Amino acid sequence: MDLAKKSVLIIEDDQMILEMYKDKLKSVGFRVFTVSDGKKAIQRIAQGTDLILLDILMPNLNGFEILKKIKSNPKTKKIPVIVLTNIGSESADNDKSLAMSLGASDYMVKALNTPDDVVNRINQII
Amino acid sequence: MPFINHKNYFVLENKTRPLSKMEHFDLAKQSNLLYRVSNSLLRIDDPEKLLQKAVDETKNVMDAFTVSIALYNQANHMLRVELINRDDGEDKPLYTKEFAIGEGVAGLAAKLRKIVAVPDIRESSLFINKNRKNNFGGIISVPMIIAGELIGVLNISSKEPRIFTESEAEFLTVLSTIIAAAIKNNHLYRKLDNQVKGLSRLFGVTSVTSQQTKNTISSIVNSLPALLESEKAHLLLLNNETQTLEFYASSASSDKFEKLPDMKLKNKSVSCTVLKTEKPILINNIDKSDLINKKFRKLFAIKKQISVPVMGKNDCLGVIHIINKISADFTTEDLKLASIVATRIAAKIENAELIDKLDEKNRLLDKIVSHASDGIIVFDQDGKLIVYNKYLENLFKLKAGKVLGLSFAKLIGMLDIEEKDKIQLIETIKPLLAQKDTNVRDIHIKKNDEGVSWLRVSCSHILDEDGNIEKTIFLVQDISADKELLQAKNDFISTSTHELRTPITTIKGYLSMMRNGDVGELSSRQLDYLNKAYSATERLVNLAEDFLSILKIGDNRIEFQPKSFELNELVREAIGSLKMKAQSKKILMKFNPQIDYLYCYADREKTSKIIENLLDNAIKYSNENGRIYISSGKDLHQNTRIDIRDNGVGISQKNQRQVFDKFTRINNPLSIKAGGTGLGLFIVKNLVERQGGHIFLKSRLGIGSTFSFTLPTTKRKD
Repeated sequence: MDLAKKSVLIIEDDQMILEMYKDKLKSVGFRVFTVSDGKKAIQRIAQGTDLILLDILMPNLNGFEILKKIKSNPKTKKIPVIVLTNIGSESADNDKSLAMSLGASDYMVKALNTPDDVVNRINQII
Repeated sequence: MPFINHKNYFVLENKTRPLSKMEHFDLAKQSNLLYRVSNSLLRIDDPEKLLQKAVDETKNVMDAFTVSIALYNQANHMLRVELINRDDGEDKPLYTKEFAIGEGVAGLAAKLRKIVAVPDIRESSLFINKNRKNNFGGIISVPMIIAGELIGVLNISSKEPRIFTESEAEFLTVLSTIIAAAIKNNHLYRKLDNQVKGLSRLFGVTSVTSQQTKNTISSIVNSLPALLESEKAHLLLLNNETQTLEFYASSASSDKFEKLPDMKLKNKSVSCTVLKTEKPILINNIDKSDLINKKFRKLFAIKKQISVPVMGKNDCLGVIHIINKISADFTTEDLKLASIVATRIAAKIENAELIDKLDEKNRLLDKIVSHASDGIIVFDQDGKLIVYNKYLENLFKLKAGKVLGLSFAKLIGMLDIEEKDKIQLIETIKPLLAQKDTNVRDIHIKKNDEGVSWLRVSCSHILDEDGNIEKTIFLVQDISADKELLQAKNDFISTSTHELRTPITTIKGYLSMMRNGDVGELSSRQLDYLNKAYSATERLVNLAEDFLSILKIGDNRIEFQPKSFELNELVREAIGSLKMKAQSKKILMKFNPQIDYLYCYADREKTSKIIENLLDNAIKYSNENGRIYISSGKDLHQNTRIDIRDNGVGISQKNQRQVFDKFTRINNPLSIKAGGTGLGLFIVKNLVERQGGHIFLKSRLGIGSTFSFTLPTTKRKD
């Protein structure tokens, strides 16, 4: 059970969505940690994780800022980040371009993907 | 031609006599001389020099003490001494300066029109200047006559008394005629020259505005008397409203027009006659004419008169009277000249009327331009600003007077906006200056004293016959308010669409997990219900996506990341992602690539969206058990081309044109079932064309449709 060892940190302020991804990821064997606030997210990231699912629109600190901090910190910059949000689109646009340029591994629009799609993407990355 | 003795003077009578051999010889010599004199005299333009030359030549030939010329003045029937050449250099006239016909030797010669010779003036009763008696011997006066007209008298005197021979007299007859011809010729030439100059002065006045017209016409009337050697000229113009003739201009300021009787057209005056007949009238003997009534005769001291109509293009506009020819009668030549001037005056009047009308039009145009609710900027072919209206003065707080004549770049430089916006403005607009078609650009600028403004600038050109740019016209509109409204609308749609995605995410996520059996096995009915709920959710997702796409297309915000990629692979992916949907309607999709590896240069994700969208449509509008054939290859221009053919419901000829329009959904039995916003093909067309491709449709109602699109194979060279 190699997968069981992998941990995913979900940074998401919408509780229903957060619950859904948490359930799905746990059900396929990930260790799942969640945080719903931008500032708290920074503290949690410092404790380490295998992958981060990052929402963009959040209170206190938005996803782009968090992504910048993750990627500028030598200790955390190797952690893969999938931006999982409901703004922008998956074809090239400002938001996706920004995220990718900041070092995101992928940019997924939540409404366009099922939880299975997200799991598949995570498995491709880690 | 013998001299006839009249006591103490001789008159040469015109009688022929045989010439001696010697005289023949002399004559031959003389004719040579005369030819030379004649030639040199005719070449002289200046009348004073002409007389000088005539006198000098005569003096040389005749070896005289004094030679003088007196010219006949028709005005007072007097002879006037014009020039004297005396050996002793005294330049005072031999006689009194002016003398009557018949007075003295010269006067007698003029009166008789014959040569008069006096061997010793001191003995003659004809000598009138007694003071000079001691200076003279013989005198011979030769009348200068040409074509029967007396020009003057040529006088030759010797210091001592002498006898003038008949052959001398004959020679002088010829010489005087030559001089007369030269003088007459010179006079005519000068008169003609003056007339030409006068005419060209009149005609030289061009481009007259209506305000100047009266002055110009007055100056023409003022110059008429000099031109026609007459006392004065009057111009009367017809007042169409009152049907009366009114004084318009006169060369004689003393003529008081306000006292004139009403010049109704009914009367038989010369003015009305000319106006009615449109023909000139010449009156040299006023007593014999009843056309000029006594009041006028007295008032204007009329003795002689010519009257010519002022002929406009269509009708007679008025009458010119030229009054009292000085020292002669009016001639038909005068009539011709006056008519030419009258035509000129008519042209001036009609021009002025035309200019008035043009002025009125111009003023109207100026008003329209000035009060237009858009900014209007016009540059001429030299790139100089020639129109800048009020709207712009208000928009930029910059007066027209400060910018007219400036170049485009200098105008931008004058604007009170941020420097980087100036650069942006120049970079955006400058390319349009050279493009002959009309272009529209939206530009946002930040004014230094205010906030941001959005300007819509449209640039068009007036081209000349050769297609070169003659004028460049900019229309400038402040669309800040429109932009704000549009932005607010877009923001709302954008925000609500994103907000819509959040609940959909949860619904779709849980439905998909349940459908996959994540929370236990499902009955076939449960699965059926979940599938239906899931596909409804998908439609909701697509709807939101379409809205966002439309917003981006409208704002030109879709970004393309073109690269070279293999297209057949992409087609297979798209077919794969729609396989389930096709199978649910038992539709078969068949892909038939013409080339194994087909590369195109485009945005891969956008292209995927294009293909998926077209396939999705083909499935939607096909009946169960339908067939969809996809082929890929290259067109005649080596562009990549994809055809997607179905045997579905098809689209009628009438509807084919609008399928690519926004919000179009063709009414057919399947479209209601198919759902959708009607935005799909609009978005697809935009995605294709923005990447430099084309999209086509071939369809027959009830038979099926083929959608084809092309994409560039390689990067465009631009």
